[in-house]
Amino acid sequence: MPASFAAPRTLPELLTELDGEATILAGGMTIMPLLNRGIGRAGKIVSLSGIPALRGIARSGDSVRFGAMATHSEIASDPIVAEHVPILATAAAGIGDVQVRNRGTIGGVAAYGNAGADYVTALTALGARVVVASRRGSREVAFDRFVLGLRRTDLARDEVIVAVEVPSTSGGRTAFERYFRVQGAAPTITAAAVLMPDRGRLAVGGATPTPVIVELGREFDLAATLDAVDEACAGRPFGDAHNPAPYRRAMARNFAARVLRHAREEQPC
Amino acid sequence: MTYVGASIPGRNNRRSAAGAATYVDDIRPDGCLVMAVVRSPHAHARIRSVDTSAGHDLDGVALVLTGEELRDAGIAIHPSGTNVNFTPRTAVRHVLAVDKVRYVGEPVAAVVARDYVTARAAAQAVLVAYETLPALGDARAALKPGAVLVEESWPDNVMVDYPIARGDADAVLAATPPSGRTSGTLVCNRVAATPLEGRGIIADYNPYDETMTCWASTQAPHVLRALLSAALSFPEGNLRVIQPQVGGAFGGKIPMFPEDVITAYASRRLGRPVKWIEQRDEYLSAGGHSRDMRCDYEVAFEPDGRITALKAGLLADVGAQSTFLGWLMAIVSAACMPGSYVVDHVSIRLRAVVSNRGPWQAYRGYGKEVAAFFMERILDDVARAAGLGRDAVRTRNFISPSHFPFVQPSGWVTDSGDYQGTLEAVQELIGWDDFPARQAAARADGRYLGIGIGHELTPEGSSRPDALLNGTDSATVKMTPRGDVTVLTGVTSPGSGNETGIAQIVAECLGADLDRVRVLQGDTQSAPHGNGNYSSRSLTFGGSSARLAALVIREKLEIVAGRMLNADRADLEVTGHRIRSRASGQSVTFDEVAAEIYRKPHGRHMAGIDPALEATRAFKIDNVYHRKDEDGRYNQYPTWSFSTGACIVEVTPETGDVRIEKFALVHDCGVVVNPLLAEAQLHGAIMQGIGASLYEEIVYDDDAIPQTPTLREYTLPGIRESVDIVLGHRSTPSPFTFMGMKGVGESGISAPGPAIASAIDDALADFGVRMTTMPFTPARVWAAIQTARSAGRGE
Repeated sequence: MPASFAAPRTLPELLTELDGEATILAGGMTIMPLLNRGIGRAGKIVSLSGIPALRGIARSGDSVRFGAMATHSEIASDPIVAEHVPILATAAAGIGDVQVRNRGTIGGVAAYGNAGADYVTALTALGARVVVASRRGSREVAFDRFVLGLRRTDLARDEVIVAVEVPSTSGGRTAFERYFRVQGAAPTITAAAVLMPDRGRLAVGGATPTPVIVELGREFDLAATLDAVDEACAGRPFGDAHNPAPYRRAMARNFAARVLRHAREEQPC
Repeated sequence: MTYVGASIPGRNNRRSAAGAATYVDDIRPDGCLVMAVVRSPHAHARIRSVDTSAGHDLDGVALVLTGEELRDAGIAIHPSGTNVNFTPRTAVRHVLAVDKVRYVGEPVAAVVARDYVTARAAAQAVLVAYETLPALGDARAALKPGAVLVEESWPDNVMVDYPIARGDADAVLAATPPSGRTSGTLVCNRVAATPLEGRGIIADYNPYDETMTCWASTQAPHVLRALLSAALSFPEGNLRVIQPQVGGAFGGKIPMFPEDVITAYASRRLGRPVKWIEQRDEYLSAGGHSRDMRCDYEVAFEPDGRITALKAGLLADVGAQSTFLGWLMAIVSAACMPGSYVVDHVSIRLRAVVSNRGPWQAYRGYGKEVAAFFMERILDDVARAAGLGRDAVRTRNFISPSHFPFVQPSGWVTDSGDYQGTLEAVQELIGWDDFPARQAAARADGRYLGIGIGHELTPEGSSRPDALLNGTDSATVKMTPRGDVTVLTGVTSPGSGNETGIAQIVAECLGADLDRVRVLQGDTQSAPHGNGNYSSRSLTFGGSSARLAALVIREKLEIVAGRMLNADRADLEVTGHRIRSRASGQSVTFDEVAAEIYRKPHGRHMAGIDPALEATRAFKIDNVYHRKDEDGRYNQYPTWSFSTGACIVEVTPETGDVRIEKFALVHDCGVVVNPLLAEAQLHGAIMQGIGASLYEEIVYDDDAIPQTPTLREYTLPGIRESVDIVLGHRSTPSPFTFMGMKGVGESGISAPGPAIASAIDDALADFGVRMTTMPFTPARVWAAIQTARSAGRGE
């Protein structure tokens, strides 16, 4: 039984609750199954559900700012997202099932950094930044530096993700691919390509503990890019019972090829 | 009015769809405590000590139980029952581990507290000191010389060694040239039934009248009562077991589980109701698995495809043994080979081996699906090796309709069938003859389509000797003073709707109005003794018993009505709750006859008549042989349903992904009482069969640690994975049952595995791929293609 449960209404109130012992409850789609199985600390639960400042999706200069509590359903159907970061809408729409999408949040996914998770790969390719706060102050971290390893992120126990900022891909070409076995289970491979006029990036998740990143110039050689993906997968193998590492590695290459092909075929938006 | 054969919607549909059904967890007796189980995190370890003090000390904890306490209280499950043809090694089973644990998830201690959260916290506070032992990850490791022993009183890890022989397979194989032989290895995956509702029980001991009432999500209340009574040395007559609505069972709730005994013991000790509700991760590690079998085979065949000899070594990993009886499924797999086919020279040796995987528990198919997967893959291999059509090889080897009853090499007696009939019908449904043209066109387009067939034999009505799950059941039919009919059955429903079929049979046989027939099941206090629900026997046994009882009531109604109408019984016509004299055209309703019997027992129409309008009858089925006869017949399956499945798949070679475009099944379960409900059963069984073929596998690592502990890893098919299913019906009635019913609850679960494998092979014929290990995950299909490519096959 939790010794305490808090549902603060404001960000300052929230930060005073974050004492390093608290377990943060956002949508609960990851933490609740863990707590139900007796995994994780259940002594002090702090819910983010009552804090309006953590909600919402809005333009912020050349970026889109997602409140940490923005749900997958909101992201999948938001017109700003559709216009400025359409692959994030695609990624959001493929997660779990409708119940999960109605509760699960972008902040929650970012906080756990699961290998191959739809947003983890998409946000990596998009060059997103994570806004993190604590009593000690707030900081911004590039998403690809925020995810440190398999389910390991650069989030201290007294910190909370406040927002995720994603540069607009307006004027670029983007694509997202998800390969999965059964609806509702974690995807086997996710791949995202962002081809901007001045830069490009490919991210592939699911074959390695953290996404493989390949920076792409204005022009890039497909074969060399795929070889780079393959090499990166070989160095950091990741697999499980149904999808062993060699298979994931081969699929990483496959889906990297697909997502790059699709992105090239896209009309710039 | 003809009810039998009518598609009447299930009577349980409304309450299930409304969410208004009462499941065991919905029952909340006053003062009910909740139990949580401390389970082993180790696959194999000695228990050095169990320190319960920290658990005891938590506020709200009523009781902490250990294996030592239960053992000292004399609680143990002793081996019982006799077996024919083989002798299993046995041992006393403890419901909480004593001295050592043998699989991850084995119950070690139990905590009873005021609520689940407290019980869970206390369970985490129980300190168990383990000394780990080497663990056996699978049956092959368990067979190695010098392997650690799971059961220390046994000389090795072999639980059953069961040979089956007919003719001389070795001699025939030796005399056959290599061109007439083929061999291979097949592996059937370990799976879990995974009903929506997990297991659960509430036990409520009343210390004042020394009775105990249990509500259990079980398939067999009477059997559970008998087993609990024996385990607890508690008077059977003082024990009542009630089955509330069950949210799926599929064999997975055939009694008895360790948790049943622990919960009942705890309630008796505390004098309070105690509830245990299973969590999904408990189910996946400790609720019982099935299949997990491999087959090394050699066959000899003639150029025309006739199989002359079959030699098969079967190795079943039955896991560590518990109170479950799932290991018997391995026997069924062996005894159902060669099944649908006539093979004169057969040599099968089954070894069922214990390991540090979890125990087996019954699951729909009950071993027949393993036999079907092995035999159908072998038939496809013969077709390939002989250069013949897959259908032609089956036609060549099927038992012909004139050869029934057919004695299998195991001694089991197959009652009747027309296997060619379902094969031809399913070929028609799937479009077998038109497919090659479509396949070639798709191939030219870069797409890989394939077609496959799989035949299944589904013996039903399991009737084991010296067991409570045997070849009989009983039912009571009674009529109220106002003419309503109540049926009480010993069979139960796991949510499948068999009460609707039983009501149809009773209404038909009694001449009653269906709306006035009510069927009640699942309470040992009201229902006559019965074995519950398993082996597709609810209509063949339950319906037939109810029919016999209904005929007793009908006879009495006819006698009294005949007197009331001044007519001979032979002149009476009984239908629609009314008895009519054909000669006079006059009639009386059942209501009027019931009133006559109840209200005027001393009246002029009741002379010499016992006024009871209530009868209990037990149907004892034929074609069961519990002593081996002079022809070698020993048979526990009276009726043998069968089906042929066919499917079209598309395979994506780059990913190994398999998509089923269409699945067709033509089944034959004899006479169908309710086609709508029969089809509902088939749809569910086929989807479960597809699940085990493409998605589901309980995986352990080499140290017997589960790798699929939750539904994120144990991937079940959902609505997105459901496929277009087309069904066809045929009927070869059983000569041994009322009307020829055979049972349909399991049919359809076996055919998908071999049919999908066959279709994948066909789609990937360019690569020469042969799928031999279930499930056919993308990773496995992809790996098979890579192997073929590196051998220079394929594009």
